[in-house]
Amino acid sequence: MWNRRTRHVSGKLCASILLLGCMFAVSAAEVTPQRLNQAAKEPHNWLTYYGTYNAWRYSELDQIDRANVSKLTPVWTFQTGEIDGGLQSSPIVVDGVMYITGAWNRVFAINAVTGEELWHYYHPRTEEIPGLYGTWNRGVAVGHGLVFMGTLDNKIVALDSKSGREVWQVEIENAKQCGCNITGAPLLVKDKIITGVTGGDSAHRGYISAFDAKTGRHAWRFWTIPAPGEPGNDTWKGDSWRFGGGSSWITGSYDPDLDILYWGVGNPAADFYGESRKGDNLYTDSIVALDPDTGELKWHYQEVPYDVWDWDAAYEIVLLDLDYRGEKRKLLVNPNKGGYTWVLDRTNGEFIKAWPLADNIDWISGIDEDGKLIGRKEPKVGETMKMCPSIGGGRSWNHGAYSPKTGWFYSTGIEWCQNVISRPEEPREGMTYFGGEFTLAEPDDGEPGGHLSAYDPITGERHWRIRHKYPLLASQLATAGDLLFTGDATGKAFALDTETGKELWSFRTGSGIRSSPMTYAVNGKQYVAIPSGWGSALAGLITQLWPEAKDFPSGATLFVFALPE
Amino acid sequence: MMVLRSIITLALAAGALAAQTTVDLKNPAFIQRGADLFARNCATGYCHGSEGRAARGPDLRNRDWDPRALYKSIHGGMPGTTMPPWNNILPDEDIWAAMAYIISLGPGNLTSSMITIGGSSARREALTGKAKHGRDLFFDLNNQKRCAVCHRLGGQGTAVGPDLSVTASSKSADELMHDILNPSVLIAQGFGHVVVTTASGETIAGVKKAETGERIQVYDAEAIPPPLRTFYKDQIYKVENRLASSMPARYDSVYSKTDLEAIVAYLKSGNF
Repeated sequence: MWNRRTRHVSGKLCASILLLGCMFAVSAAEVTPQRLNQAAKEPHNWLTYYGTYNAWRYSELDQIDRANVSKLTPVWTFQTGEIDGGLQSSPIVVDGVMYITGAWNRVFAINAVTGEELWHYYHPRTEEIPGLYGTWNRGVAVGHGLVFMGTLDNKIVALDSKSGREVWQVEIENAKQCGCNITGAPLLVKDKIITGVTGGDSAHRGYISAFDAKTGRHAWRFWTIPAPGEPGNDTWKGDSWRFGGGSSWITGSYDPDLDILYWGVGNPAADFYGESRKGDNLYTDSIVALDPDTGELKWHYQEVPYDVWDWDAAYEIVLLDLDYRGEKRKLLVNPNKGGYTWVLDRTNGEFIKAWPLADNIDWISGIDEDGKLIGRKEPKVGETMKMCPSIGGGRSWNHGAYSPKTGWFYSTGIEWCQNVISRPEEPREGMTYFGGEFTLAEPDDGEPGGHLSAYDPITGERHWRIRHKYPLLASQLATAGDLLFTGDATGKAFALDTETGKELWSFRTGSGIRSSPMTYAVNGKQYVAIPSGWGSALAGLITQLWPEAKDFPSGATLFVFALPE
Repeated sequence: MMVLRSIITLALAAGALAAQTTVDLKNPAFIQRGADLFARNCATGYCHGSEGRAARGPDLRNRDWDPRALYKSIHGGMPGTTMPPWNNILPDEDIWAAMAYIISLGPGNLTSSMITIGGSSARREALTGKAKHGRDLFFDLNNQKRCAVCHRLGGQGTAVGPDLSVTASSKSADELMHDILNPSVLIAQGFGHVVVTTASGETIAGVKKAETGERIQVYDAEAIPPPLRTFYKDQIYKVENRLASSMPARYDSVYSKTDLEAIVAYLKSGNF
């Protein structure tokens, strides 16, 4: 399954690296925990899924800036060869070598200067993958000389970073039985590789897992739903805890100083029908703060108790140290699928604030000063109700970015609604477990569509907003060049001025952008990588409101841009 | 334009034909039954969408269907895609009901709607009592030491140790119980215990999965779930075969006697 093309990697690059010296490049294969902890000090690299453990998706690189970005030109492209599911990945770059995944668990190591493939690994296809969660993959983790990927058949695979040879793999649960698998990037913390799991819309009990990075041996599992006898099990009626969802499908964050791992937990199942699981349903829709060595719960905060809308708290958890009411606070910011963004004290889970990312939100009328939901509007059995946003979310999973230069958080939002009906449903292990149905609907006031905005991360005060006809489903990348890179459903990659939102550059990639752009530098030259390729559940779902989107071409091409010589 | 013969007789893939029955694809009650099945199994959120409006799966409305092709896609799934085979999930009659509903979303150009099908024998009978309890234990995802972590049965589980679908039928209940409690007395062919010592001094003991001239793959049986380790020949110091099973002894400390009897009853039920 692996194939090695060339092994020359960074010897020559090292000799001429201007930016931040050779001391990192000489140990090209060895990404140590210390390097990961201090990834921000190596802006020429992008060492973790979000670039850094704090999930800022920000780079200090500033060679490409407002003044010259209009000259940005493609320098190479790379095809993964598998367009089913589009291209959702975020590349990782270590000392001139890029690692990127494609759909159906393809992994490539690429010379980040030339685009030449160094090796690839294609995970064997199996008939046993749960189709509900798609064929895509969002990226790898690197460290200890290995490249780690979660798979569609619910395994973690570790590959040798130099050769692509398989070193170990472990099946976490049989994917066919559990109706769950892995599409998110794993996170390496110290000597453990940590992964979430899908399955939140299946009759499944979720968890977060950790394995010894070198051997694949099980280290710990944090069940996102407590068993009988454990604190929180009494928030589930009867046996509903057994099949209550609680997925962990998006990569978490880590604070090395506090030594806390933060992970967002998804919705309870059945999604729209809650009578059989009446209660708060811990730890669904919660942020859990874990000891990364043991998986022990340090604290939790539940954003949406007794969720009957599918409002995951699974999206990125952005770690920020900011002044709040005259005090320096260690905070986290978590956009919830229901359209509100939660701000918590990340030392103890104290509620600070919640603010909306979208205009059309009516499943609650608001959130009070203590974080309590006000005016809940719940789906009903036998009665179709219109509510906003749609199950697709006030925002999709695609991640926002934080720039310490502006102090603003950049995020997309979607204006859309749905007609939803709740329906009693018996769980069938590993099978879909929605407890109802929905169809997309337009908002009562205004057009459906997407937008991208700059916010104060604590108050949600908006500094600018640009609107798009279609939902924006790509992540943002902020840079010290005062630029914000992202892309749209029609395949346009573009860069905005972080201060004004003004578009300064664009490039037509030919297929919609559903990925996480990133930036890196080799030999002192800055590159911007934007994976292009339309696909995913939402890409299909939006055809209910925008029928023309049915004809949007899929693809799977990585575009890499740089300034001309 | 598809044309349907007045009556189609379908042989079931699973063999063992049950009594034949005829269904009417235009019958409103049959279509309604299909609509309910579609809502719970096919519309489900991110697949085909409510009333087949499309999500990740294609829009199913306003299409002319060739019932034979449609049946094949649903019954056997679409290999290489995320459309699963439904033959082990829904009885044949339910698949036809869902089809009646899907066909009703389009012009429904059928020259005849009467279909004779082979009954519902593709579905296994539901387990009851002790054997059902045994099955629940064998596959219990809440128990990280469940049997299925290392054994496949009826197409489920992980193939670290032998697939028990065959073993179970060739042994008596007493023999099975004896094997579980004394795994090293009789070792299944091809599942011997190997110990790999690497050039760097690491030792891994477990089940050899595969060996080529280039590499050896071994399940590390001292961990649960067992990771599959791959070693290239230049990484190996030595490989030793041992006359023992990789299955942990003393499974009577994982399961009670009653539970073990239930698991054996399930293995002997032949109903996988």
